[in-house]
Amino acid sequence: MKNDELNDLKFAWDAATSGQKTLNREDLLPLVRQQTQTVFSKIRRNLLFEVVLGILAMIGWGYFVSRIVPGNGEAYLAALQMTLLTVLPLSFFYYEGFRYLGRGMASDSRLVPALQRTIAHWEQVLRLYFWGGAALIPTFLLSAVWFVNCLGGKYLFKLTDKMTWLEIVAWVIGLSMASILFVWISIRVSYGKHVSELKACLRELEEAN
Amino acid sequence: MSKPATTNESEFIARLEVNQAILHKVCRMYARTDEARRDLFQDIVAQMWRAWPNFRHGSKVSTWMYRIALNVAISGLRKSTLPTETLTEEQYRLPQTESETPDEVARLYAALDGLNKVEKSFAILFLDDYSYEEMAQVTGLTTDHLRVKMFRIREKLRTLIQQQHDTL
Repeated sequence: MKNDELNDLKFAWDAATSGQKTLNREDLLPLVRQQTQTVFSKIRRNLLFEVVLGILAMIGWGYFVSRIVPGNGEAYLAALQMTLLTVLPLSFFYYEGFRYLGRGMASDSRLVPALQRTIAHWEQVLRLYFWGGAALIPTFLLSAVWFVNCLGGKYLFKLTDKMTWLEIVAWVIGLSMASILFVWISIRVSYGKHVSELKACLRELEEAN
Repeated sequence: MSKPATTNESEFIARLEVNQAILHKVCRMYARTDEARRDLFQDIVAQMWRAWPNFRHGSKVSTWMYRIALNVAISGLRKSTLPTETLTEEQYRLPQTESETPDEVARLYAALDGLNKVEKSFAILFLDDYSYEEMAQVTGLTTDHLRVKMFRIREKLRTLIQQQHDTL
């Protein structure tokens, strides 16, 4: 089979790339100093922003509780429980998130192992996002119900008067499932497609094997 | 006014300056618009600088650069799906080619555009006359597998070139 077409292609490629004007050192220095742009570093930055917002929300929450239930020991206890049940899983979520995202992309390895590691990395991050959301939502809702109930019927409802525990649990399960579905769809829409594309690339590379 | 480059930065930039054609080739191959090329170029430089402390100075810098550039081009999440901050036109002026004629180059890139992301990575190494051993260093595949892969890609390229000729 003739190789003329491919030789022409190589010739055209050489011609297209050999006359390229180049960037000098002064042009390259700002590029080196520019803050890293990888997607993982961006997610990490977003997480840091969320942590700051979370701390501010906790301060606001503390102020709100001290104003709304003065002298109500049970409500303080419920508020504390609600805070702990939210803060502890979130702390774990953010700690793990920073740990995974700090590893960054495996960019200086060969294509196949780098792609395998990048996919594994993405899957860990997305799994963490999903289970973080899935565990947090019902926990938060249940503890919020208890807190509201401890307010003594002045706010929203009193557990035994207007709703039974069974109804509350049914609501929590329903809302949790809807929220978890929302989290799952968000992940699929935001990053899931990208991970699927990476897997397709890996399959394509490994096909040769 | 920016600070003068440190010794480490100077050494890296010197290597980058000499081998920057690799980055331009990858950017032209994988990104269609000037803006997308600038973003990709910036991403690749950032990754190279990050990986620079791990670079073993005995190995070939061009192979190392191709590895990173192709990894970023294939694995990176591009602007179409996630917003990124970009350099201004003044900070990074996209180099223009001098020797190309628009028709030839348009046909060349139109043919290459018919390849998928993975095929492009093999094609770029093939067009740069990399041996199977060197390609194995970049991709992690064995030379036997590369031969099979390259046979298919060459066939596909021939078809794409033929299609380009037929459209004239």
